[in-house]
Amino acid sequence: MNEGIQSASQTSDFSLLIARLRRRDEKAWTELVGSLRQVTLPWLRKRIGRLPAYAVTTEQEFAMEIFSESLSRFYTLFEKGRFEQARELQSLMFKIAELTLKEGFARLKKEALIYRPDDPAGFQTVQQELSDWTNDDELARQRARDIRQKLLELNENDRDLLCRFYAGEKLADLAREMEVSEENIRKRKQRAFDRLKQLIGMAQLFLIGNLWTAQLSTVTI
Amino acid sequence: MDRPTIDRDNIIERFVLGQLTDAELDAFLTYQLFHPEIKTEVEALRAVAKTTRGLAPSRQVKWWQKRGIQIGLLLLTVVLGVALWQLAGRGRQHDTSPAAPQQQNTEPPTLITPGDTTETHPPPPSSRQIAADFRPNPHLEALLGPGRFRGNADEQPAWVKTPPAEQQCESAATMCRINLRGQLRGDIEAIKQFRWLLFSNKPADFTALRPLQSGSFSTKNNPDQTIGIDAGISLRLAPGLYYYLIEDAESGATYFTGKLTVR
Repeated sequence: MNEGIQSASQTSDFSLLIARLRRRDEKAWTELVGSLRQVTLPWLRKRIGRLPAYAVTTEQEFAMEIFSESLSRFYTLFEKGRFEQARELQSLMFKIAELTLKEGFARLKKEALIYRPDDPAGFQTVQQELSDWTNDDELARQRARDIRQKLLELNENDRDLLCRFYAGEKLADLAREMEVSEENIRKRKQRAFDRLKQLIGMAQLFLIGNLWTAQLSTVTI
Repeated sequence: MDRPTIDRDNIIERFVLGQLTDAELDAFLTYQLFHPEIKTEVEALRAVAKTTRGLAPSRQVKWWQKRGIQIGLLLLTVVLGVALWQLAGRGRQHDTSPAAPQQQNTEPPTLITPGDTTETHPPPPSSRQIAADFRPNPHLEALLGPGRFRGNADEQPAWVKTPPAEQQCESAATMCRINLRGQLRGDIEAIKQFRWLLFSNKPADFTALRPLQSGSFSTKNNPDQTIGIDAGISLRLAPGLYYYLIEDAESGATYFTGKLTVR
């Protein structure tokens, strides 16, 4: 645990810290989030290892996604729990992260079906394997197909830029390759993204977000 | 953190792409807790990122690439086998005693840990028979030294004396003896959960959590209220760089990382 949490433990002021957390004191929560991040993220990265080839997310992003989801659940459960020691907070976080990671691994295959271009034959097979394929998953898949369609409507330069940027290439590298400044490439990327948002319609885009958020919030520990 | 800052500094996009600094990250994660509605925007942007990535070819390894790796490993094994055979021949030339019948050591490297309960893992063939190189593993280099648990004795076990962070084993031909001794303050039950893991320097072995060996420590209460942990590990290793981790078997939290060079 970091300095703040540690010093609270050392001066037997843990109950004061808990009180601050219960009061939703932003500084206390930021400290707690930082200390939980320091212990949970390296552990998650170790547990995740290398993702399967079909994953549409990188290992680093997946770890952060799991950590972020776990933290939301931790926040909800914290309100209901009683804690006597800092160790209990950490132990709760590890338990939640373990469960969230398990669900995350199960979701990877679904995401591949949702975000990769249609492959009717393969889709049928995998969909049969996934017993918990829901209507919301199907809806998310249709929305992803819409995004893909709109991406294809962008001009080639914009599409190429967005795809390479979201695939993890650095703006500085892209700028060097295209012989323009980094600031220039940043603006071009932002304009391309704005065009995509316009084409999709932000309301529809948010719906996709809502679907996932709704699914996550229904899970109980 | 507030909404104008999030928009101005492009926080959501940088969060999705893992580009925030630690301070920004902690502040944004806290903001998310207090304003869960922002998760919709995060997920929307993730959907775009994943869709664009879905357009790229899958990272699937082609059969010929896999076969290529196997062929490469086989060739490497043959080349190293020949090199070792030649070295052994040269060594025998210097020996003035009558030539003894050549004994091939077909036994896997053995692990002797008196007093310890030790698990052995199926040895990855490449890490033993093929000499490991000395390239540092960046993930493990970043973890060298005590872990981030520095709480007081009532909360987290805390080091009073750590094992050496760097150990050397000079002769690869004989057994290497590694002593992992340390002193901690804290709950003995928590410390009893500690185990050691020995990794090669190959990043893939570490990320797949595939240690060469692992085992537990013997613990004893010291008169000064500290708890001593001890593991004496004897094993035969090929020259190369290795890392050892001391972690809590239950939570997986790493308490100490050190390295071992076998010359």
